[in-house]
Amino acid sequence: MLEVRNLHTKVDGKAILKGIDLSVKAGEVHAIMGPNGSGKSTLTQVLAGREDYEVTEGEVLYKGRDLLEMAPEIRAREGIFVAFQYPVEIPGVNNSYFLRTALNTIRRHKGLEDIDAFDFLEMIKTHMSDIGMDPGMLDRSVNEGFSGGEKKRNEILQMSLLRPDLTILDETDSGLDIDALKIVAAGVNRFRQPDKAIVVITHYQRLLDYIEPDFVHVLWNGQIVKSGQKELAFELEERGYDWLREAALNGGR
Amino acid sequence: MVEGSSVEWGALIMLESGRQPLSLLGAYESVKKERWTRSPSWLSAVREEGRALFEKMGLPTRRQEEWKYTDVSALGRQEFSAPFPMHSAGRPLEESDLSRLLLSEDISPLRLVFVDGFYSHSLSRTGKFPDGVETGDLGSLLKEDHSMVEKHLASYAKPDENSFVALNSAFIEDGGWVYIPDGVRLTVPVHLVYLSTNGVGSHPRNVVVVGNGAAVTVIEEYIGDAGAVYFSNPVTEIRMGDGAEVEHYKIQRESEDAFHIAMIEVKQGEGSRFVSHNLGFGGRLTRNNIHSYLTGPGSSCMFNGLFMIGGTQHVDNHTLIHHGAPDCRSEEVYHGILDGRARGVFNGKIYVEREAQRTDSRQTSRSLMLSTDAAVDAKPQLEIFADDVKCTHGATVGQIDRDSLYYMRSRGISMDEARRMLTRGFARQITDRVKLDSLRQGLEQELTNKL
Repeated sequence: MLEVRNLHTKVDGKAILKGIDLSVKAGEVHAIMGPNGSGKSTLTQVLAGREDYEVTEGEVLYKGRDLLEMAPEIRAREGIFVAFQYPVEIPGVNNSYFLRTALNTIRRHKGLEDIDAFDFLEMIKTHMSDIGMDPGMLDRSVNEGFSGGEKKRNEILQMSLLRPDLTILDETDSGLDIDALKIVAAGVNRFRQPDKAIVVITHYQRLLDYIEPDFVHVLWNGQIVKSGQKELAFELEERGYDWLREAALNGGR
Repeated sequence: MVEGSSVEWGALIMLESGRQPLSLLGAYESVKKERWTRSPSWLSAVREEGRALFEKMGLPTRRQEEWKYTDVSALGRQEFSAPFPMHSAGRPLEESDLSRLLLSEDISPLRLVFVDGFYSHSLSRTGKFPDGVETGDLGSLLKEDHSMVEKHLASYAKPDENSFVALNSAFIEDGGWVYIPDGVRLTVPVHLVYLSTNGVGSHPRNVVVVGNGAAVTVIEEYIGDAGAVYFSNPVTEIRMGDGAEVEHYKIQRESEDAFHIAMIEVKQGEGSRFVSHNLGFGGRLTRNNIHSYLTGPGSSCMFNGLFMIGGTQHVDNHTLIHHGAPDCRSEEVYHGILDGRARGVFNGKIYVEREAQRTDSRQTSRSLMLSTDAAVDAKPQLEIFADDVKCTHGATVGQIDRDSLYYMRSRGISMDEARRMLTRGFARQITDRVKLDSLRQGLEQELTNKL
């Protein structure tokens, strides 16, 4: 579903990603772990289509097509969803209206009819109760005044509503207490389906207790320095990231 | 003066009155001779004072601090005919002329309509109210010996401080009269509509008197046909007793070729609350002056403002909140949306007198620039003479937030749609404060149409 090949990027002239290779197939869950500054959020933003990142080398294919050529809204319509680490607050834009507009845009792209306000409300309320969200948050402005945990739930709500093929969760566990984490993880796990792929980007292993990855990759200094199965996450949790430094310097993978 | 109820009004579009257009004050003598011979002497004195002051002051120039960003010299070059009640020329205005121009027909069952400043019986919807409530046209009351009108008219607006108030005073003839006695809370909003026709300069004078513990909602809506060139120069005086509450809406949807200069002067009693919603969309050149004097302890006011302009439109909002007594609160939030080569001005003055201790005042102005050719001058102006006060102010000018745009696009929403949603969202932060449902919906529709 997603093929990242030798991806290099620059931000403000500074090289951040220095040759990423990653292959994600439908039905798989991948975790990308790494310390602060390793390039995790850059990778997320490049995949989502943020314009400030310059790709200097390499390519990204999504369902066999050149992802980097697509505008952010096209990526979303084609089935990519990024749950952001810091979802923005949008004063004056009603959350319910925002969600319905997004849903209908994506439905139209798939050749489906618009969903009307009434049916939408029924649908969204079910999704909200699944992730323990107060329906009152529909009437508020998008993320405005939401707590960190509420913002993350609002991201997961969008994911379950928009039903993407490829979901990228960027530090979704940060700011969540353990109960909220379990609820969010359960929401994501409902999405583990043979035709869907999930990429979990995280600093800590904690989230992976609840969303079990098939593959774990360690990102360090803009490169994936080690890949393995879920046991790698435990190893990182125990030994920290420092031991990888040597591995990276030795060029070992 | 308007004679009786059988007056019919001229055609809306490109009215040709047959009279020669005159300079701003030029019609004074002839109108005086034709219509004002039986006016009470106190009123004649008010007009005479206005005329003399305007003659002395003339139109303001940009050399004056208060007019630094707004050039009204075009008004002096333009010629407008004097307002007059029409007996001839064209067909009478019909309900349909009004309904296609109004923001919403359902704002209130009580609607007083003024055409070129003169009351129209046929277009108005009135009602009888108990408890001594009066809502009607000043014009007919000026023919009677009405002591309350005499007491309050021209008692709050200051013709010596503002040329346009002086000009308005010179031509006081008609406008809205709203009188709410002590303790009465009028639940029906008073909808005042001012429709201007091509070529006319009009000077409506409105007086709103709200007694102790009384409450009222007043909506002033200014409209005109697209393409019509005219000058509307209204002055509204509002006197609020102790504990009175007024919700005031000013909706400016003039023709985009119109000149609109308005003064709203409010005097608030102890513990009273005044809320102003200043919502502007039309006009070639617009200047709003909204002044509230908090003269009684514990009184408060809130100024909400929204304007949305494009092309070469110019809107200047000058507000003054005068804290003249202790323990008063004021809050002011103005949002401007500017496209094309539009120019906006926000000048928000907060004046705190020595005795106005424990004043709590907050002011924010935000401008959203949709085009790089638009410009705005935002100027907070704080003059504080008390030592125990809390005054904050902030002004921002910016474009559509990139992060919000990116976030919305990452959910599949197109760039254009996201921009529209964000612009509407910016406006909604003001329109959400509108309490009247029909009015708020009308405004949201207007915003949708404009984007």
